[in-house]
Amino acid sequence: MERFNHHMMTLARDSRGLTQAELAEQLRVTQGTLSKYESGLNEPPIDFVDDLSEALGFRSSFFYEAGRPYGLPPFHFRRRKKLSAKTLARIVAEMNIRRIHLTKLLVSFDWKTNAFIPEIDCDDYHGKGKAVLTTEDVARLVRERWMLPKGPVSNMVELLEENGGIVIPCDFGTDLIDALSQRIDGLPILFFVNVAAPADRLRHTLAHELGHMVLHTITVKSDEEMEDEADAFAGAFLLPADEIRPQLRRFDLRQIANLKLHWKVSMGAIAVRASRLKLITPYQSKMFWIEMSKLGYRKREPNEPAKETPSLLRQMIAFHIKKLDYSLGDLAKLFHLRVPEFQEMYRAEIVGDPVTGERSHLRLIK
Amino acid sequence: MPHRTMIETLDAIGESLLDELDDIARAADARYRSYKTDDLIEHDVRAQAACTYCHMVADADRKFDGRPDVRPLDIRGLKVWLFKKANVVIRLKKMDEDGRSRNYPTRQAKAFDAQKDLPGLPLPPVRLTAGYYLDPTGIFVRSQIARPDGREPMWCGAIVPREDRKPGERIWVDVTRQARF
Repeated sequence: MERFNHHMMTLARDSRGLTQAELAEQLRVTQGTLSKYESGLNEPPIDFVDDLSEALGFRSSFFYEAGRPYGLPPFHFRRRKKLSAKTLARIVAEMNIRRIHLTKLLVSFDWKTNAFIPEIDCDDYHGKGKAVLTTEDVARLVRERWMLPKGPVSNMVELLEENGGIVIPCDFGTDLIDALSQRIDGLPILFFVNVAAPADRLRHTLAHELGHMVLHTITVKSDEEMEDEADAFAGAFLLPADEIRPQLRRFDLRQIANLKLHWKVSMGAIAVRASRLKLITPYQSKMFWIEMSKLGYRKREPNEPAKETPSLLRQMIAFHIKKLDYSLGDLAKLFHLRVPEFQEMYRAEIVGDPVTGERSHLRLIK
Repeated sequence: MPHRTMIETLDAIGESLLDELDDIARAADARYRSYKTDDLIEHDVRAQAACTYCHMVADADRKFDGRPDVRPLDIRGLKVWLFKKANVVIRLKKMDEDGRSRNYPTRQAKAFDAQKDLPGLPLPPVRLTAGYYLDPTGIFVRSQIARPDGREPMWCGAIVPREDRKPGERIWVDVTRQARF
């Protein structure tokens, strides 16, 4: 018989944003009992697993799923400092659950690509010259490797999916985190993105996460250093220096707003790029942010580009429904979810309608 | 020249003409925004204003040409429209939030702003400037109509966008900068 997987219990509890004490109270057991089950010290009885399944909204089979969740180290995430540990735990748990779902979908969905997201070690890779690669060079190399033409990246989501990544839209329930990425053996690189983020920020976020995947799989540095490098990579990838430099000779709000229309990158990111390229003085940069605040554009910028929607996940679900004849109930069962939870997790705003390809609601067909 | 207040002038113009002026400004801005972004990033403020102006004039010509109550005039390059019934002469222009059009005006434009006599244009009609106001990023904020009085406008009214209008209320609001005491 399959063994109770205590890691899955922690995952399920975290995904619902509950502390041990809160869950123990809900289940009318002591926190000590719960803690022992969760740490793997004791094996819970079947009745308890049923109660747990009821309380957390997962099927009992979920707790017998093999494997263990991936914690924080392999994740790279773009977040703001205000994010609480509890919220982060909930988000990380959801990512793990979605990863498990994806693993199941990939068993039948034949998705192969020759393209890949490279891992580049700046100290080892010397390219043509002898000088060590800069982040700027790495971004240029990736663009070259993917044969991207000059000018703006037309669709960042599509580009990642064409090159071996899977972009998974998620509702993080907070705007304090934009994205997480994960490189795990045997799986494509996963980019979890917050659907609530504005389109321009999403593009930059994905480029930032790509930077982590390219630069920080082999070389691990301090958090701040990695974040700074990934940010510089995103800027260099989306706004190549040789192209943006002449366009930034005129640095005023109007020009930056137009550049945003052209490059589909936020005005803020363009200003940061100008700063990094030393095209503006710290005073100009400061005045830019003051002006943006005055206009109320720090929270929501004008000239928002069209939202880029991932398609692979939708295709996988559509493949299971259309080609493999899965019902919604079957899919929910495959994911160890009840149908309402499945519908919530894969609602139209997240994946679109897998049958028609449009963004309408999933319905249970009996 | 008989003095008319802002309300009298704008009431004489009427809602339908104000709507048309609003449409002209908005359409011209939308047309400019539809340019390829490669072109937009090479344009400066003056190029944007010039392009938008040309679209406004072309649209106004399309709208007003052949109307018996409207007389288009070209006074040494200054294109204006005389609306006989309302007894106003309107030119189209980009403005700031107070209704000021900042540039180096030609002699005829100065005379227009000062409400002075112009060749071929009788004195009584009030000279007005209709146009649009952009924020510092070049985004369209609103359509406006102002009565110039030399360099400074005497008054300026913002045309309320159709979707924000309330029944029974005027379709313009007074946005004239108030003097500080």
